[in-house]
This record gives sequence, structure tokens and C-alpha cells, in this order.
Amino acid sequence: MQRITLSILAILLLAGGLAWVWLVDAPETVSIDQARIRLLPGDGPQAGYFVLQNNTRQAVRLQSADSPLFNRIMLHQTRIRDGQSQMDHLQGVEITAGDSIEFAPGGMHLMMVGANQPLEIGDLVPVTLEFSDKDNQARQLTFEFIVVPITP
Amino acid sequence: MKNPILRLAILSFTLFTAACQQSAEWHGKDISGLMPDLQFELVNDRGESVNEADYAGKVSLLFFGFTYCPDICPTTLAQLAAAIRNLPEDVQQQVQVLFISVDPARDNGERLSQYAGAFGEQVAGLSGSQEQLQTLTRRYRVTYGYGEADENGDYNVSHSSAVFAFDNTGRVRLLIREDLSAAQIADDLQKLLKG
Repeated sequence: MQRITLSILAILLLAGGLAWVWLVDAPETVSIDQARIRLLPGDGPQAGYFVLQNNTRQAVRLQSADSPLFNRIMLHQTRIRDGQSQMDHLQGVEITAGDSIEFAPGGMHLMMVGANQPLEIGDLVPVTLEFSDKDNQARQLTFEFIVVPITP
Repeated sequence: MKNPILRLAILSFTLFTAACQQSAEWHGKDISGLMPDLQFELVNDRGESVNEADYAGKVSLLFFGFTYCPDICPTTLAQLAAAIRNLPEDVQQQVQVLFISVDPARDNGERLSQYAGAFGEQVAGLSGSQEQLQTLTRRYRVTYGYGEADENGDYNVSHSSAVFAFDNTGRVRLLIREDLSAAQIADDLQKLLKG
């Protein structure tokens, strides 16, 4: 009997330990790919694009973006309705667990206004993205966006 | 023909049959005869009054936008520029893009010239008075409008997403949607150049 109890205890401990390792070692991150700013001449707004992958086990919401190199950044979406194109403000974009979203030309983009220094092709621009999870816990992650030419 | 629904139905049918007849030939939508020939009174990036005669003799791609547009306008312009670069070098000069800013309040000559210039020498930046712009957009049955200014004075501009293609005699030929690839547009341009 005592042996069985010990065995069960051992199994429980092992399982607990595994669960603990699984939780702690889980890639609790949001990763970015193809982060870029497509350079337009002059002092008008620039557009930022990327693919965001939510590697966490819960939905996260991209709330806002900020960069020391720009006055302000907004989340925008180009919409084409009946041949008419316009930009809509996004209040945030949810990424479900394990899923990804793409900010791409003609769709969602970062509207980056008021660069406080001239940008050049190849420059790396730090952009901080703010996320919140279901408990409204805010988390900031800073990524480098590369400045790319407007024409491919 | 006063009934707007009937008019719309006939227009849709005409466009549909035109599209069916031409689908094998064009990637864009054939609108020959459905829109008026190229004609405008505008202002170029040096502040000079210009009209279609100043741009005669080339295949023209007419596109409405504004320079505070970082996403769709440059995407379309880059696509058109790429299509032109896909053409044999000797005919590239026979095509021009007329980028018409419908935001003259912000788009002065310098901004227009900088912005249009980023896409190559074949892209001309034009704008005009509200009256000139209204006349032109009504002519091609498109509209534009301004959103409310935010606390920073920035405002959004809605505009037509389509590109109108005219042959080198100024006759309207194609409606090029924003989802065509540069190669498809280049293909249509080749055919337009051949007449």
C-alpha cells in the first residue's frame, strides 16, 4: 500500500514537474517577421508593415505602436469599397493563440507620422508595439524595422 | 432614361458583356467608349496651368490620390512604375502616369514633385483647384472626399482606387484595378502601345 502511495506521489511529482517545465519553457512571446518601413520622400507619413506571430497560449491584442523617431504612430487599415479607397483607424488588432496577422500594402499598416530625422534606405528604426492579453496585462516589445525602398 | 436602376442595369450589362468579350485579351476592364476621352485643366508641380494637350501622344494612366497617403497610393504607383519598367526600354518613354492629387490644400508643387518623382520620371504629379478637380472627377464618374481633421490637423482623404488607361490619342481604353500584377499591367500597356 505504502509502495503504491509512493508510486502515485512520484508520478504526481513527475507530472507536476513536467507541467512546470512545459509552462515555464513555453515560448511565451510574440515574434515579428518582415518588419519594414517603405520609404516615401518628404515629411509626409510613412507606412510600416510586418507579420506578427502570437506564440503564446492565449489571444493577445496589438493595441498601439510608438517610436522615438516618429511623433506618433497609428494602426490603420486601407479599405476599398465600391472602387473608393479610404483609411480606417483600428482600435487594436487581436491575434488568437498560435495565429499570425499581417500588416501588408493595401491592407493594415502602421501610419507613422512626423519623422524627426530624415530616414535612409537600410536604416533600422526601433518600434515598440504594445500588447494586452485577456487580463488587460500590458506588455511592450520593441522591434527593429528596416527602411526599404518604395519601388521593388 | 430617368430610371437610375435601369441605367445602372444597362451600364452593368454593357460592362459585363464588354468584359466577357475582352477577357481573353485584356487584364484590365475594357471601357472603350464608356468614358470620355482624356481632357483636363490642372496645375503641374511648377504651378503652371496644364491641360491634356501638354501630355498628348503617350499612353496615359490616370490615378487619383494624395501624398499624405502612405499605403495604397504608393502601392498603386509602385505597381504602375514596375509595369512600365517591365516594358522594353525603347517604349518606356511612351507611357506616362498622371498622378492627380485631390488634396491641393496640403499638396503643394514641391510635395507633388518629390512624391511623384520617387516612382520615376514617367510619373507626373498634378493637382488643381477644387473646381478643376471636381470637373475632372465628375468626368470619370469618381468622387473624393475629406474626413474630419484630428487634434493634430491631420485628415483622411477618400479617393477612387482605379486607374484609367488612355491610348496615345487620348481615347479611354481600360480600367485597371488595384489587384492586377505589374506583369499583367505591362501586358495591357504593350497592347495599348501597339494601338
